[in-house]
Amino acid sequence: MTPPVTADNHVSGHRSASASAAGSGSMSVETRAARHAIEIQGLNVHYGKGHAVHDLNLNITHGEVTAFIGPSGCGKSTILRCFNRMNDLVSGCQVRGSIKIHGANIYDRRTNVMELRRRTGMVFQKPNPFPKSIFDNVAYPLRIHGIRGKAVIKERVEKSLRSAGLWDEVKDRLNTSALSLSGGQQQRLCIARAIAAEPDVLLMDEPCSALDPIATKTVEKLINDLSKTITIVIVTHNMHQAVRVAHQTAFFYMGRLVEAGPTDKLFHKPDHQQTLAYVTGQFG
Amino acid sequence: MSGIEFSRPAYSEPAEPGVIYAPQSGWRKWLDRLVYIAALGGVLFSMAILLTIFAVLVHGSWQALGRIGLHFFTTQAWNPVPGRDKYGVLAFVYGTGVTTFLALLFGVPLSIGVAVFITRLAPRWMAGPVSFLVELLAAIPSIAYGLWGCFVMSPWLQNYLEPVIYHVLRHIKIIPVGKYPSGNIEFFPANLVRGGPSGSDFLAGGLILTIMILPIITAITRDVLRQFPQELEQGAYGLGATWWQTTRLALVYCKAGIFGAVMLGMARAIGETMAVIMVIGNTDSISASLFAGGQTMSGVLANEFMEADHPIYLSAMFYVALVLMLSSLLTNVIARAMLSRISAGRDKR
Ligand SMILES: Nc1ncnc2c1ncn2[C@@H]1O[C@H](COP(=O)(O)OP(=O)(O)OP(=O)(O)O)[C@@H](O)[C@H]1O
Ligand SMILES: [Mg+2]
Repeated sequence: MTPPVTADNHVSGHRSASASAAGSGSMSVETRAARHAIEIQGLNVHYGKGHAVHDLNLNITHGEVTAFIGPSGCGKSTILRCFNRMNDLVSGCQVRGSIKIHGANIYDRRTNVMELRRRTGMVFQKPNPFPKSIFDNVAYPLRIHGIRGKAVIKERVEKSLRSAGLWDEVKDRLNTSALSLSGGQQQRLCIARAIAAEPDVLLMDEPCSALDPIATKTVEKLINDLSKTITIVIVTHNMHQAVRVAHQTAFFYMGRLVEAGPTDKLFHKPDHQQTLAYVTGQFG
Repeated sequence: MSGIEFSRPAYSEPAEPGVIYAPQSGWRKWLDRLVYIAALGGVLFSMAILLTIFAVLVHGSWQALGRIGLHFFTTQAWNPVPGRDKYGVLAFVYGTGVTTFLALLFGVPLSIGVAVFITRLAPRWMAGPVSFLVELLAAIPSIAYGLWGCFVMSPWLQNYLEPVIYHVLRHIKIIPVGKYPSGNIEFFPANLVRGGPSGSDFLAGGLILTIMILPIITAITRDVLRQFPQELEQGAYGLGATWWQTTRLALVYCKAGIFGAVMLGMARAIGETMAVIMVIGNTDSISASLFAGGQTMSGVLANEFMEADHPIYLSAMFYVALVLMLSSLLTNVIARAMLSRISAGRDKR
C-alpha cells in the first residue's frame, strides 16, 4: 500500500502534503499514499461552556504515521477521542462537524460505535492492562466481538503479540497475570490488545510518556513496523519522537490547528513563526 | 520537638549530625506508649470476651453434650416435655440453612443489580437518593421488619404470590431432602412446593431476610464498584466493549470485594432472629417444600429461652447456641479462606 518505512524515516517529502488543506477531501489524488484515512471537516468540540477545539479541518493520510503536537491543553487528546467517539462517554462534551473514516461519517446516527472502536484501536498514556492473564488481555477484544473458536483466538493472540514485539518475552508465561509485566511490556501488551481485533487505525495518546528510554525505543520501532499496515495517529510531547516516527505532523495551539504537513518540513521550514518557536523549544 | 528540616534551603549550612540523635521529648514517648497499651488492651479484651462466651456456652451445654452428644445433629425432633425430652438441632440447622440460602439466592443478584444501577447507570440526581433509601433499609429495627412481615407480607404471600408459585413449581421435585417422619435421615424425591400456601413458611423467612441483607450487600458492592479504575473502563470501551461487557469486567475486577459483601450479608442472615420467627411458622419440621413452616437456630433460642424450666432443656438450648456460634465461626473461616484464594487468583491471573 505505502512504500516501506525505513528505520530512519526523517524524510517523507515525497509524500503528498495533503494534510491541512482544508476541504480537499477528494479521494482521487494521484498517488495512493495520499488516500485519506480520516477526513475532518469543521470540527468543533465543547466541554460544557469550554470551547476545546475550533473549526478543525484536517486530513490524515492512509498508511502513514501522523503526530499531533502542541502545548498541554491545546486539545490533542480531545481530537483523538473524537476519532473513536470516546468523547461520547464524557458528559457535557459536544462534538460538531464531520469526521469521516474511510469515507464513512462516524458521527452519523447509524454508526455502530462498538464496531467503530474495534476498527480504531486506542492506546492510552498509562498502560492499562486488565487484571487478567496476558493471553486473556489480548483475547479480550476478540471475545467481545464475538470470535469464539479457541484455535482462531490462539492464533490471533500470537499474531498480535508478535506484531507488538512481545511474543518472545511472554510466550512461556501467557497464563500469568498481565500485571506482572514491566511498564514497557505492559504498554506493548496494550498495543497488542489494541491491534488484536485488526483495526485500520491506531490512536496513541502519549504512549511512551510513562516509559523509560529503552522501552520508548522499542515502542517507537513497533510504531514504525505497524505503520506498514495500519494508519497511526500519535499524540506526543516529545519532539524527537515526532521526528523519529511520524511522516506527517500537525501542530495545535489553543484548540486550533496552526500548521500541518510533512514532519520534515514542519520541523525545519515551518510556515508559521509559532510552529518554529514551539518545535525549537522556545515556548510550550 | 527536635526534628529534621527537609526543606532546608540549598545555600544554608548542613544540619549538625547530632540533630538526628537528639532524644524524643518525654511526653511524646509516653503518648506513643499509652496508645500502644490501649490498642493491645482492646485486642486482649475482645479476645477474652470471645473466649468467655465460648466457655459459658460449653459449660451451659455440658449436660446435653454428655447425654445427647452427636445425636443432636442427626435428630430432627425437638420435644422438651419433661420425661420425653427429645432434643435434636437438625431441623433448626436446616431452617437456618434454607432461609439463608433463599435470602442469598434472591438478595445477591438484587443487591448487585441495585449497586450497578447506582454506580453505573443512574443519572447523578437519582443515584444519591436511591443510595440513601437503600441504606435507610438498614436502619429499620428488625422487629419492625417482623411486624410488617407478619401483618403485611405473610397474608399477601398466602393470597397472591404463593398460589402463583404453586402453579409454576408444583411438578418440580428435588432429591436430597425430604420429610423425616421417623426422625432418621431419609432421602427421597420431595416436592419443592407442597400443601396449601400459608404465608408463614421457609419462603417467607427467606424473603424477609432478602430485604434485610439487601442494604449491606448493596452498600459494599457499590463502594467497591466505585473503585473500578477509570483507565480500565476507558480501555474496555476503547476496544469496543458494550456497556454490559464493561460492567462485567468491573464486576470481575471487584469480585473479592463483592464476595466479602455477600459474606457479611450471609452472616446477617444466619444471625437474624426476630423478623424471622414472626414469619417462619415455628415448627421443628424439615421439609423440602417452600410452603412448610420451620424454625431457625436463633429462632428457637429467642422463642423458648423463657420456657426452659428443667436442666436438660436449658442445657440443650445452650447446645443450640454453641452450634450457632460455631457455624458462624466456621462460615467466617471458610469465607476468609475463599477470599484469600480469590485475591491470590487475581494476582496470579
Ligand atoms: N473531561 C473534560 N471535561 C471538561 N473539560 C475538558 C475535559 N477534557 C479536556 N477538557 C478541556 O479541553 C481542553 C483540551 O484538553 P485535552 O485533554 O484535549 O488537551 P491535550 O492537548 O491532550 O493536553 P495534554 O497534552 O496535557 O494531554 C483543555 O482546556 C481541557 O481543560
Ligand atoms: Mg492529552
